[in-house]
Amino acid sequence: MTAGMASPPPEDAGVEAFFHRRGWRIFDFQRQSWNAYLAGDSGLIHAPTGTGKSLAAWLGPLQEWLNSGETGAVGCRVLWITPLRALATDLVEKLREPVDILDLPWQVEKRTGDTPASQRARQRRRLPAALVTTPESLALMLSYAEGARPFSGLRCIVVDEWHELLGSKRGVQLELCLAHLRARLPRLRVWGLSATLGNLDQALKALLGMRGKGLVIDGTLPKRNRIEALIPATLNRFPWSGHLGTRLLPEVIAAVERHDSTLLFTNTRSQAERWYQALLDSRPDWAGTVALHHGSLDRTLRDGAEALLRAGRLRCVVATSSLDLGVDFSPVQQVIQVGSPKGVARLLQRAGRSGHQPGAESRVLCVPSNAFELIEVAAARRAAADNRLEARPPLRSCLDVLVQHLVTLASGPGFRAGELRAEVRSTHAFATLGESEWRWALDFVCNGGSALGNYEQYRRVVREAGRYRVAEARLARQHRMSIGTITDDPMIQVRWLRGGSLGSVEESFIARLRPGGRFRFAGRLLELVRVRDLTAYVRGATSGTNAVPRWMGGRMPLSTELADNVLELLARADEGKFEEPEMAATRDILRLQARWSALPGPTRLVVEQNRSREGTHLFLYPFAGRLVHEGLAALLAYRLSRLQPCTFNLSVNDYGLELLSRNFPDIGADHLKELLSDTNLAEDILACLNAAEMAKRQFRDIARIAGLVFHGYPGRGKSARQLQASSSLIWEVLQDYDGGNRLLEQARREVLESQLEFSRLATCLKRLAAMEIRYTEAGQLTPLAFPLWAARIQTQVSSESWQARVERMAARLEQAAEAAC
Amino acid sequence: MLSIRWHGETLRMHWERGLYWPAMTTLFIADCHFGKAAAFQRQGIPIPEGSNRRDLGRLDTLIEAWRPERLVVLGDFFHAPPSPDESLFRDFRRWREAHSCLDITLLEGNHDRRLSTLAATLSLRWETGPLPLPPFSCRHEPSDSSPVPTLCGHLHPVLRLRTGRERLRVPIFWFGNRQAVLPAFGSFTGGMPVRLRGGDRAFAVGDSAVVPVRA
Repeated sequence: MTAGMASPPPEDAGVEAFFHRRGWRIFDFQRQSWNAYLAGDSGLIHAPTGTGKSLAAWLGPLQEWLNSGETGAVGCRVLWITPLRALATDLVEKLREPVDILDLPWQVEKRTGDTPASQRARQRRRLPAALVTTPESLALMLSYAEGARPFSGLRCIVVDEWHELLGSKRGVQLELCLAHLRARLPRLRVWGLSATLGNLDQALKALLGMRGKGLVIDGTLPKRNRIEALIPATLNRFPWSGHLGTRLLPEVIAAVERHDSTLLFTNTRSQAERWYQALLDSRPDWAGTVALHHGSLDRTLRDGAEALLRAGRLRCVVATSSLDLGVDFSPVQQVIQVGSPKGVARLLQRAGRSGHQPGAESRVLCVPSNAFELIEVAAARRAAADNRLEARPPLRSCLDVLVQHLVTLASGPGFRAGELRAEVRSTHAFATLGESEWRWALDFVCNGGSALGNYEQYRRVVREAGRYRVAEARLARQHRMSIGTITDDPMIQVRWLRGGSLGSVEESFIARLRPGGRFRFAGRLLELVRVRDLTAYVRGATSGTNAVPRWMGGRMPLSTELADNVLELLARADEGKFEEPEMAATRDILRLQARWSALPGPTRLVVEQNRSREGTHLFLYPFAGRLVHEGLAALLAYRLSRLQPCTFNLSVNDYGLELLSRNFPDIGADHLKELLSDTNLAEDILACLNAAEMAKRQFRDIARIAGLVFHGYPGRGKSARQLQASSSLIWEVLQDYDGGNRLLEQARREVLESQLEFSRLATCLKRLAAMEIRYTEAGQLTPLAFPLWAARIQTQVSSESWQARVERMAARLEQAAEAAC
Repeated sequence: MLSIRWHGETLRMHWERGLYWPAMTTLFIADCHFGKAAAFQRQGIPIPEGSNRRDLGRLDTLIEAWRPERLVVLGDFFHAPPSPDESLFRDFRRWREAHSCLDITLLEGNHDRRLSTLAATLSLRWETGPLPLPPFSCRHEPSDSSPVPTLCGHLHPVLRLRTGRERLRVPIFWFGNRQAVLPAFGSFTGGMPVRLRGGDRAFAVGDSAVVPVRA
């Protein structure tokens, strides 16, 4: 840690006076940031939320204006980009504070999708000195006739929460827009604000472009992080997912009671719904002081919870990653994480949401839902201490975003191909863009695609006097409706029968319900009345089942950094060292695992085989995260079935995988190495997973971003219906009549990279090749095998009989364990 | 070729999504949506054309299989009015000349209103209301109040099938008590999942077969 010492108050006027008047101390990193800005530098400031990053970036431009001696109205000098439009209002207030105190003639305004049309029109004529906006709104502004001209006086762009955009297509879109402005304003400085990541240099490169240079400034205060675990009095030797979580409810309630205000994070929205309900069921007297916050709830419900939290009127908010971002919630004294932390950086970011009082420490209390998650907590603490954080790799070569950008710019003053190509290639995202890809993208927006004869009615972008522009104003208007890259699964709005929205759930969940069916959502028990036009009308219910919607995409894999630390801790346990309290608590379980089989480690792959009435089970524990294990399980099954025809049942979790078959081929440790080789990996993976089907699903987002799916104008549902086609239908048509369309290829690549984590899988296989394989014929399910077995059974039977069966098996194994001890 | 007895008549189903009534040597198809991709293209959405020619070829297959005297299209033959410079127009004219003896009746659908003049230039009969072909009535949109057994389209019915881990959406011929709904003929058409009622019979359309399915 480099920064953080308080400086003696200098007698300087200028922006530092703001700190003196507020009685705040200035941190070295803040002064370092604005000095670098004044010297003409760009940069990236990283620190957890609530350490004063925003001021570090904001005061430089203000000081620069003071130094210039200018007076009078200030033109648009600063663009402030935030990933969430919901944060824009808070940001404007925050930025206005020093402006007001220093009495500067600076206008600070926001412009997002929520901004009224009258204000947007006024802003089109004249922008404020500082404009807070989102990546999508920036792209939208560039699509108007005046293009980048309103920004000609711009000095600085600040990208807030850059870590959140990095690694997403929104980040790629922003990279393109930044490059466009940079090409017109050579002296423009760009500053990013980010949580601490494992790849800060790369994050800086993505922000500044390939030719940009800048500083990485560490704003981590010497505030202490405390990562602790709620250790239950007794631990089951045979843990299964979801079991322990609610058992620890009394302890969690006690922890909530000890503080005025707690943020309780869960990993999924369904878990958040369940915990909210469990808290209120145990403490009905807390009604009104406990709130629920997740991404599928209606905006007004979320806003309400945030306002109450900020006002210090809530005892506890149960939240998902929807509260990872945002301005300070200063009253929060404690953060609780339920379930696996999944990643170190994320846990630290969450911990940073508490302890904003001077001298306080960031404290996160982890509530494991099984014994191995307890080890993850110790692993997270180690990784945090060593500063081994996850990287968030920026995306590259997203042609869908590129074609959208081409149409965006063509909707405005238009572009020249050569100039724009240079601009696009200056970004990190498209630095390796080949000539043929560039030509294809340009062709795509002009002619539709390479299969020319099949696009005879198509006209979108045309070349006139060397400039590419949209063919008709109508097409530009239509494009503006669909600017943006955030895409959602088809969602069903949930509304009260009498009016008022509660939020949205996935279509597939509602499709399983019939009118009269009950479910829990937004913290309430609801009864479905009818579904019409993508809206589910509900009324309150007083009793019924506990069905909670499950949202897709909530299953983030365990990070490599965390998994590696878990393996190291297991290796130490193998040597008899149980230093951390979490390790001491799991000692019995780990010893049993070692006795019945072996403990995995950084250089040891544990493989267990056993037989049951169901057939032969093979368990492997590579600790590479569930996505990699999914790929690995499918790969093994595929390669085994080539030795001898057989069918497998597969089960995976973050630690390992299970293969079950009635006629399992005979394989030993040596043969297993061959089966795990990385030769022909890509071909085998594509052959064994239903990659074609997955690519078709992945294409849904791509089609929307590239403008192949048009959602129509608001309020003109009927006329847009003529232009509706599902993305899977478009996928098939493209495959049949324009197979060379590169968006198809992109979908296949994205499936490999993001859905299957192909590179992580390849790395994992390389590592496994060098490992010692400890092969055991285990007599029964080991503590590591049990949760895999339980998860597989869950997919086969109803939930009641599942619970009973898993409890029976756990009891039987407990007996065996007692006998063994 | 799979046959069904429905209201005393024999009807045959083809995997190219045509229904044949041998007693009247009449072929039925529904919801071709010719020119759909071009309609997208005119709105600046680059969907490739190409399915038109394939679909005309599929129509040839049906005609060769049964040699009907009459073709009845149960609505939405065109997706949107084609522009005269479209190759679809030329392709279709050529196709019509090759089948000049075939009597073709188009029922007006919700997509191809205002096309009566176009139909005339291609020597197609144009019907705006239900077409009675006793004992049946033919129409585009299903109607619960129809007093006679009805052949119709419009819904693009598909059935969601689940077998173990696999999920499948298949277009179906859907025979209810008084109403028979044809699958959409056009290749570039989506489908609407339907729920079968007791007594309904459904036939899934595969690549080279039609098979009866249960809900």
